[in-house]
Amino acid sequence: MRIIPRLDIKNNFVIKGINLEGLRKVGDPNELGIKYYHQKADEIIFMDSVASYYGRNNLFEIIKKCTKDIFVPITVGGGLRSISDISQALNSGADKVALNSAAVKNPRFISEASKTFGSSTIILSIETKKNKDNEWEIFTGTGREPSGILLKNWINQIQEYGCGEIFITSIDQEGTQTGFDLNLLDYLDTLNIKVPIIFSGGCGNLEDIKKIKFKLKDDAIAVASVLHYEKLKIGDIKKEISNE
Amino acid sequence: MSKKICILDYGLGNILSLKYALSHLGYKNSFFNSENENKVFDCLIIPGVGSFSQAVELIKKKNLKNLIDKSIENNLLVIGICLGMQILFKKGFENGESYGLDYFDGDVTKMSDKKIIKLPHIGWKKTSFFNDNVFNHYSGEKFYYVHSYECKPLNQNDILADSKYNNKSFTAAVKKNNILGFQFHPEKSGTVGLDLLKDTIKNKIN
Repeated sequence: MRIIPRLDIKNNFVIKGINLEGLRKVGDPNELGIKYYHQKADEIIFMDSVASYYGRNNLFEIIKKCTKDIFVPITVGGGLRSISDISQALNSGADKVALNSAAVKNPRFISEASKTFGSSTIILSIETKKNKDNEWEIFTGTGREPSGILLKNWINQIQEYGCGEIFITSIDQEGTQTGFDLNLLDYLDTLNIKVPIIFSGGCGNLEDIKKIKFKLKDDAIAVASVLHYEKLKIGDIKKEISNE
Repeated sequence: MSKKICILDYGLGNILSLKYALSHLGYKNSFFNSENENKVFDCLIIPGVGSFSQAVELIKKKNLKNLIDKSIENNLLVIGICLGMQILFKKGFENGESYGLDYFDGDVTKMSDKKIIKLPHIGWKKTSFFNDNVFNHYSGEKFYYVHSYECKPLNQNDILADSKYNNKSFTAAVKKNNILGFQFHPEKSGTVGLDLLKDTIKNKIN
């Protein structure tokens, strides 16, 4: 299982909220990125947390700076709307990109992107929670806007269009540090997922890691709060999963 | 004299990370595309993310095959990374059967096995190296992989390293004279990857 620190960025700061809301500054993206690299992160994800909401792309300058000192794969997401946005992210030193809102608006964007850059470069980011009909639905605009699309249908569709990984965030658990969304993980088990997933939202301690590590052996988890608030180091998590 | 590295730029994938890694190690490096043909260098690196047939086609279309041929003839070090290693083989089967650059005999086929459910194979995996004094001490170290296809060398002597995905072995590196191929990404494998890259350049350039 890969351990991936997730840095949500707003106005040049790493921020952290709860349920993707109520954002607080926690540090400098460059410093935190390099710190987690030296803690032996398997990869690092940088998400521009307001770009898709307000329509801005301000992450590239940050990425350009820190990729010179980070030698593990870097994913950039948030507000990427076109092939030229993706090019710009890759030309800033990113290895992969995470698409969300633009893909929901126009799913063909996924196939266009994966044909142009190779499917292993294209990650689909999904924010999900149960809707009032008790069905898992996907949301955009950092978890604010219901899309009307059900998770199970979207997962099939994005795999057909050719994404290389699926980055799934449980909106209800995100930032809470009360444990991963085990109901969501069980539900994902019933879907036909043939690409690796990056499971995100809720990691609070090593017990939480223990509960999911066997299910996500070929996959990854994204962690933020426990690292940002220094409750855990990446080494602690790696020790927990070392018998893999 | 400082070694000069040339990164083959045929228009696929992130070639910046490789550049940053080489610069970090203190090596002079530049990109090579069909427009700057008179460059002098000691080592040619073929990177690549994307599909086999597309990569081979682009290299042929941009007349870069001659450059690789010439580099090999002149006994320069040639390194293929990830897809850059795969296209050194004779035949690929991504989006149908197609011919590669044919420096290694064998096919590049989709990784498939009962135990393999998820592709691409993405992760840091322990890698074993054989019969090479420069690389032997990297055996057991973890390197970063991302690929759905694997090289199947016909000549066992070409295999420099192997690794496993869910207990199924695959070829992790190949070597033939002055040509090397790494399925993993040394430029994205942290400090151990950088060390391996440095050792390669230091010891394998004639």
